[in-house]
Amino acid sequence: MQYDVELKNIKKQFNKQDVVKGFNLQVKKGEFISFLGPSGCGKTTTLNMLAGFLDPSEGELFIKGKRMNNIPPYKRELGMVFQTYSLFPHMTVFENVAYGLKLRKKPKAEIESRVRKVLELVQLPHLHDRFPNQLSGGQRQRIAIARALVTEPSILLLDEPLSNLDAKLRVELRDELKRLHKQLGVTTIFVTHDQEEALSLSDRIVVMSHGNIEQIGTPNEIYNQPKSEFVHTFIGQTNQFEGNIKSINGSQIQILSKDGVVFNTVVSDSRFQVGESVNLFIRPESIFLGKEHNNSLDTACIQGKIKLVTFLGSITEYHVAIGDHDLVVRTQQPQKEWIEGADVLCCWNIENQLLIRREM
Amino acid sequence: MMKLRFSWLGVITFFILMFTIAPFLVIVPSSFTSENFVSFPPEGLSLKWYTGLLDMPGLTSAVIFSLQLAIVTAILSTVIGTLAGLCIAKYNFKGKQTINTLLLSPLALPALIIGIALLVYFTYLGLAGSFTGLLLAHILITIPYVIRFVLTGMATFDDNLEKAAAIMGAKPIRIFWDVTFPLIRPAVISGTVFSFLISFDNVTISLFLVSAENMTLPLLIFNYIQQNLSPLISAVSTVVILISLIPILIIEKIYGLDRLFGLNSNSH
Ligand SMILES: Nc1ncnc2c1ncn2[C@@H]1O[C@H](COP(=O)(O)OP(=O)(O)O)[C@@H](O)[C@H]1O
Ligand SMILES: [Mg+2]
Repeated sequence: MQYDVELKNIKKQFNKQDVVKGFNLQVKKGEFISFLGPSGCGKTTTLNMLAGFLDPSEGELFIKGKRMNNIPPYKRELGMVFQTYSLFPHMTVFENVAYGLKLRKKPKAEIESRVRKVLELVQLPHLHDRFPNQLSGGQRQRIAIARALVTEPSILLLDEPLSNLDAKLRVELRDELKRLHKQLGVTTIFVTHDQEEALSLSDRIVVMSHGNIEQIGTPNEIYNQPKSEFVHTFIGQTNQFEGNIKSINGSQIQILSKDGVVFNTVVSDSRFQVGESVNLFIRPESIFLGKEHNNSLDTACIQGKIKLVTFLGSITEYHVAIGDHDLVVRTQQPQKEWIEGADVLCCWNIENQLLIRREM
Repeated sequence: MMKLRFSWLGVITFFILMFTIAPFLVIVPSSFTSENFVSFPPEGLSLKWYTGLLDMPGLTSAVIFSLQLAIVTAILSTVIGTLAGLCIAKYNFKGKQTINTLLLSPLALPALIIGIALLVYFTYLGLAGSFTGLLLAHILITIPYVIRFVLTGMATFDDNLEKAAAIMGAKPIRIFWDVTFPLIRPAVISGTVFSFLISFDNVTISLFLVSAENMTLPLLIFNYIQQNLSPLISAVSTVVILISLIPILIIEKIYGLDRLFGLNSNSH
């Protein structure tokens, strides 16, 4: 199958420093992909290699099945939007949007009708003759999006396009991007450090840290089945248990937590040995409270006492004391008997837990 | 009506402005005197010193020579200085800081030293007293201004503008003419005007490099007043002032000086 974008073991070094450390990704036609990670993790660098502004130190890069290494940006037929808007300040809105078409030597009438159409698409049909410094931030970014779309690029690259906007506009333009993607179906790569943006917009998210891909998955997978400590802690909230492995019986593992509580869980592989120090991560939303263990093999449970109940509207948050440790649990279906002081069993599906060896 | 009120700032501003324009207020009126000596206030009124200009030996050719020199200097300095400035602003390369310092060093060295050094060097090369020699010297002292202006212009330049143009399909040359140059044009034109003016009235360095055949206007005046201080000099000076005003007026007309020197950032 041919992918719209394919990165094969792409690496980038600056001054002998590894900034991107082996990036592998395949993007299908029409997909909305986000690169999500903290500032400095190599998102822009990766995007710039895709755009052709930087050459990869190693690896291969394909767009629509064509090898793109050493092909200059102006031949790649992409669209790009920047955090800084980057509209040409000496050109009107019309001239900005028309620029790509003018370069392609389209007839005047076609340019006018295509510019008009794309400005309607971003819902700013009346600003033709304004200069960029006469527009608000939100308007500028809409025009920048129009300018990127007008040439009907095969791939749309967005580098933190919402980060310079205030909170309200950010949500507004986020929804706008979602609508545009639905309407046009253009393959999109969206760079952000904002988990909410990535979770709400993407078909798949690439979580990055320090030049590595931590996990690639749907927003649901990224949130509910994080595959690394980084993904657990960078996105959403999580509970962490430190402990030691007390015994192993097949896939059943018994863990003695640091504050003296013993519980059983199950792992799908046998990477562990008795006595090893481990960390267990589980999200507040993945834990359900109950009275009895349902004895199914894919459920892990731990006994605790409710310490604090906080009503938050659509959800209720419980702090459950496990030894000296608090486990945070969130649920949309609170029960009457779950009151402060009550004994409860905190259970979770092992699919949602992450058990890893603790680095000493 | 605006009411005039006493303020120290006003007084200080007034005296600084007076100090700046006082020479003009003396020179220009004194060129219209009917006497045979420079006096202020001028006595009588006549244009005889202006008609006398035509008879001043070497004046016409010095004016033409200086204009040619200043125009060629301005053009070459602008081209070289702009390219150098862009290179320094846009690329990181080994020895960039050294090159930057070297290119700007003529600003720091006393002109006298540069003049003597060039005289020695050009004599060795056979360029002393030639147009080429003067041209090279003037380019040397004007390039730092062009580079400074371009660097200042590039300081606020958003690199993503060039990336945006590239991704839309523009080749590097096209990006330069469509995006980069229009945005640094005020800086470049400032450099051109400065180069013209600096070359047109330079004395210190030209002093070492002129010859009887290749005489600049400032040095002609300089030589002349060492022998006689007649109102002819006031007339020449007035003409020089007018010539120097021309580029400034043209730019004011087509561009607006405030925009050129970045005093008004609201350029559209
Ligand atoms: N041109 C460059 N030269 C040297 N280091 C760079 C360059 N560009 C980026 N870096 C470094 O690479 C790392 C990743 O940068 P970047 O891709 O911009 O991160 P992000 O977009 O995820 O915030 C950072 O540590 C940054 O300092
Ligand atoms: Mg970035």
